[in-house]
Amino acid sequence: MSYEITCPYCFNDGGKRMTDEDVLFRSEYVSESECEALPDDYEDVEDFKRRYTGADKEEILQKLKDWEFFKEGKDEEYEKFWSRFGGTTEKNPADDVLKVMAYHRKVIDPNKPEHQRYLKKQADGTYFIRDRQGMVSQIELYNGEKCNRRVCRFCHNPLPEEYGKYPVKFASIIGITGAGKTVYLSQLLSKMKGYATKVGLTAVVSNPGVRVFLNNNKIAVGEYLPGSTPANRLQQPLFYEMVKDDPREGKVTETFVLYDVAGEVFAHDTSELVRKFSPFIEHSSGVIVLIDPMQFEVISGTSKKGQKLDDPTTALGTIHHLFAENDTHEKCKIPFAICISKSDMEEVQNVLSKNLSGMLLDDVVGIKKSNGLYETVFNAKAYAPIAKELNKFIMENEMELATMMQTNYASYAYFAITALGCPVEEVKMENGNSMYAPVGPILPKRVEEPLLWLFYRLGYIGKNATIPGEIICPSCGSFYTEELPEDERVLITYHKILKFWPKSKKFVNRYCTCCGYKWEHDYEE
Amino acid sequence: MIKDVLQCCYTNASREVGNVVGSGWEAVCVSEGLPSEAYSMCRKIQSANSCINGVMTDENGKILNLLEISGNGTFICMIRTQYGLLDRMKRANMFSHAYVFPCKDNDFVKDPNRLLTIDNGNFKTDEQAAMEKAEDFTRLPAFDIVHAMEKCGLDNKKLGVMVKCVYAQMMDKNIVKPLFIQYDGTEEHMRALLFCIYYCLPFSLRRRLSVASVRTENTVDKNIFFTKSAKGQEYYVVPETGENSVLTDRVDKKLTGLGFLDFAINGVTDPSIQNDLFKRLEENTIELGDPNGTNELLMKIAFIWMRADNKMPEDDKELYLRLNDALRSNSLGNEKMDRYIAMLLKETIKRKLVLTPESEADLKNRVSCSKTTELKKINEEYNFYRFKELPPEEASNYLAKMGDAERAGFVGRLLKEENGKKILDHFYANVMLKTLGNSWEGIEKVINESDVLEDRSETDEKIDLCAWELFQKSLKNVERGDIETVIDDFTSFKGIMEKKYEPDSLKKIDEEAKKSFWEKVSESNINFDMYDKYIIFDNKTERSEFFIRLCEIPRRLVENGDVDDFFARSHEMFTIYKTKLGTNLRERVMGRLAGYALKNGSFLGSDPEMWFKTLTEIENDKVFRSALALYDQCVELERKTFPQTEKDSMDAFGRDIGREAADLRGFFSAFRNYLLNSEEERINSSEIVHIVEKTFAELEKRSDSFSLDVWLKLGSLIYSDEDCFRIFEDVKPRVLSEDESKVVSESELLKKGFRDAAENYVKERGSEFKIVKKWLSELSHAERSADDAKKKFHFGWPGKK
Repeated sequence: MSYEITCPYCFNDGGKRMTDEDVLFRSEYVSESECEALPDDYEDVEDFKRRYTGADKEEILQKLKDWEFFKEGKDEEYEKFWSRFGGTTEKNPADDVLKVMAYHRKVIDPNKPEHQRYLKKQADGTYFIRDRQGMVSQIELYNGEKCNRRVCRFCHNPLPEEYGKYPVKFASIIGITGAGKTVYLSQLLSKMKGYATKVGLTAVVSNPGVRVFLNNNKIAVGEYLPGSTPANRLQQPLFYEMVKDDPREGKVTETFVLYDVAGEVFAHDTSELVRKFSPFIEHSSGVIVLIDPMQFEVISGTSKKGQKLDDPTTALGTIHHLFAENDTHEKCKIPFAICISKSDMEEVQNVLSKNLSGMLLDDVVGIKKSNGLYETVFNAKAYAPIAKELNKFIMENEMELATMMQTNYASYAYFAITALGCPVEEVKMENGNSMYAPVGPILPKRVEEPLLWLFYRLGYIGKNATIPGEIICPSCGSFYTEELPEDERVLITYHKILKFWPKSKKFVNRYCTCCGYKWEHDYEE
Repeated sequence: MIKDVLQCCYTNASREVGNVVGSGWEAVCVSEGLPSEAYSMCRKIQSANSCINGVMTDENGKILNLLEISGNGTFICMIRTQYGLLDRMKRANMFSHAYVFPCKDNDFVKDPNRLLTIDNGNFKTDEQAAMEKAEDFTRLPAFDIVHAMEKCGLDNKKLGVMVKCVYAQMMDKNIVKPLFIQYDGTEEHMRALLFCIYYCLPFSLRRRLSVASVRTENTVDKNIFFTKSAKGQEYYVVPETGENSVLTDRVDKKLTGLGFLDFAINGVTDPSIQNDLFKRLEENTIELGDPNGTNELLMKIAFIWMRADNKMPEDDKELYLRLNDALRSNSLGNEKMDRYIAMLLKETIKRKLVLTPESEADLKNRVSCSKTTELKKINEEYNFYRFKELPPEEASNYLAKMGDAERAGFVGRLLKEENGKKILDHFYANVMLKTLGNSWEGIEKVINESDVLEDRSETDEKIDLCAWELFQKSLKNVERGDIETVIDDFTSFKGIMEKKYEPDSLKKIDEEAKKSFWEKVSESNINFDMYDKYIIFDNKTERSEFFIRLCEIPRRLVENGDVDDFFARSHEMFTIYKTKLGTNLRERVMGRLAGYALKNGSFLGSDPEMWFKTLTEIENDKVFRSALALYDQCVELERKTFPQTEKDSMDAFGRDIGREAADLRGFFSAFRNYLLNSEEERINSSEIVHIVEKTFAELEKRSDSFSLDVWLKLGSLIYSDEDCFRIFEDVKPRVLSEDESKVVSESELLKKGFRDAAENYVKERGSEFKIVKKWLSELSHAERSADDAKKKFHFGWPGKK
């Protein structure tokens, strides 16, 4: 059995096939900076080749070749991939200790005969070492050293341990500059395990990306808030393994990959950036869009220091075009969580209903089972009134956004979160400039709700109530339903034999885009 | 913005369009004429610096004000990136201001002060300031090398160490990480160090040097980082002490070998050297074939060229090193380089030195691309010199690598030298023949080419060997019966031999060839259709005569269709060669002949194989003739019995009943007729008895048993009607062991004419009298039963009419 693998960086160079037996490995062994086999009188291999006449020439040349093979150096494929994004962002704290950048290690292809001479053949006659589930996880060098740093065969980017063994779902987080995406992400990642537990899942970090992100973007009382994400730089994907205990299937694991994409990518006149980043959005099974409240006129208009920011529909329009490249009339079926950030801001609180404001300040609560553990469900019961209120707010104040979502997106929901939950104050730097830092205590509210909704939509978890605005086909359970046009709302059933003879008439108002079923949906419910 | 200077800035900028505010990382304050290559270069470096993790500070704990100088060979950018700024959200921001200098403005490359005296004040920290116009840069006081070295605490040696470390980082492909240079943390010190470095580096490296004042998160193509504490890094140098981790013995030796670095460092304070050195070095490097002037090997050669001009090194090793460097440089087709190589090669020949095979391969490659005749001529000289000096075996190998035209030129020259003749003889004999000796045309080519040699003893010997082997190889065709190919090869072989030998010798060769031919011919591979071809190889030996004679038998059969003649000749032949052939060989030969005759449809009558075997086994001539006449009779009889005497019918007859009594009846009558006319033969010839008995016994083995009447008839033919049962004295056919009632009921002769003979035989107590007695009593019993039945029938039993 082989495992199909989709590279989270290059998506298999535009869709080629890759299995666990096709992956490459970074060598654990790295040659010394100088080759001892080269006699002192010679400048380099070429010089040696031409001048040396000793009987052991071939033997020395072979040693030089071996040394050259494991030499630390730039990897062409890897460099090619990252040159589009202004250089790599891969960082592994262990590299500093080992004094070798992981991406400078020799990439070995166990299927290449010229590489196989450096590898040990295993008992099964191949050069692969498989784990207990039979997935190729390592190779062994001829000196006995094992290499488990798997990389994509196309772009040579790292594949975390066990990546490819379980079903993989990609999701993207997008937010325009200032929407608070970095702060949000930092908070979300730092508490991911706890959030996952609330819905009966165990989140396991499977690469150093999360740790590096959190180190670079610390959120702490009195410390400056992180800078904005560079627009054209690809941040490392963030990998989690989501594990649940399914009563029927037992332990079920899925890999969840999160991309951090700057919102500027999808702003005006940045087609070059869109092209570069579009594969990550296109492969996403869910998207979280962070909207700065100041992007809403109703909020920026009432703010004393308020400036109206670029409309959120600009980025959403660009994204829709990405998904519907060939048919702009088609709705995007991927679930979109539209999140209003900084919901604790005074300006935001002022325009929201008291009821909603109050609800937004509550924490998301999980549903406990009788044994005290959490159920694997999204608490839709708690979310439903918030969703209702947010829908209402958007409909009343941001008709453009509401229309854009209704017209172009088949599955979406609105959320409001605060990643800090406390005021920020200006803290002076030595050059006299002042930067914002949280005053504390930092009390993020509902940051996990969009992600948990996404988990529900991706099928990781269930739900405990109906979600307003979410209409599910009563026949096939699909989320993708549409309202019927006025002139198609009468469903006539004809006589079985006298086919022209109308037997009954029924009123319907929705149809399922997946199975075509038509029914009367009670919107009041 | 400085007048006539290009710039590009980068920051997280805010924009207001209408009432809407947008912001993001972007290039700002970009000069109108900034080339796209320069723009991309700036953006790459500047955006790499936009990863801001908290407050960015330098090693002194101060807010970072990063200085970078980056060159890509076409442009040099000097960039200041000021951190600690804020964006509209009051988040950490930076402003990066780059000045871009095109490298084609050589003054910037020649004079490091043009870069290093640009004051920090020229670099702005916001868009508005960056757009302000100014006439020129505000500058710091210019450096001079003496003071710069003094400031950095460097003497020539320490300067050399630092410069070589930088050079190695830039040029050694094994060093992929940046070099950390230790300094005191002040920008003044850093600039002074940079001045010293720039001052001693060739122009091409100055154009590509990339440095940063602090180690940044992104080390995109940086050569140098400055740091207050360099020692923990993998590649470092402490200029003041010369401590470093870069200059291993090999690297140091290599860099010393370049020449120009040491020359520049040793003469660093001599303006007459410095003013001219790198300019000329670059010009010469370009002339030697590297338009960018960056090739290390070419720089090394250019420096030697500049310094030594036409002087040759006294040391042979040095001469060889220079030639080796020149040959492995990649400036193929460059006239200057070719002239340089020609000069060194000439000296190499003069000093009687030789190149390694790899260098010779380089030379050959270079000569093939050379536009000058000079190098080609010297190369020819070198090759000729190599031939003269080399043992013939080795020289031949070199000759083999040449093209035809080149070799032709050499042959003339080699013929004038005694050793040259030996080389040529060896070459033709061992190299050329090795390649061409597997065809007659090839061998002829070698003969023609080597004809220029008066004495080509080795070649002659090898030609004979080759031709003989080729002919021997061709003899394998004999086994397949392909004599035509052998004859073609035999003709070619003779043709070659005729070119070399007198008639006396040719006769012997011819004999040997024919002898070896007949050794390959055997009874199993002889091709009876090739009689005319075998004749060509007739060497009047017993073996050739035998096979030719053998071959003639079927040939005649095909020609005249006379089967009797075929049998007669076969009989004659087997009689002649009776003792020499032996039983097995005789049978094999007979088998081949019979097979051939059968295949050609020459035999008539049924069971031709039996006839052929019988007739050829008869040794007595008279008996043979009797048997042959018998065969003719049988065939005739068959024709009469089956009017449609076509071959198919005959075959069908042979297959179906050929071995049955019906067939044999014809045989008997024919035999009897014959014997009646030749009484004497019948009485005297025990051979006939033997043959017939044997034949019938053989037939019985292969088919059903013959009836009693068949044997009685046979007995009567051989002996007489009265003595016909005597046959069972000699032959024991199957009928003797069969059921007597069946035997008797099927026999007509016993009932009629041969009953008395049977009774006599019993009386005389012949060896099988008991069985014959049983037959007689069975016959009596049968006759009685038949009479009884007749009576019953006559008298109405079983009672009905």
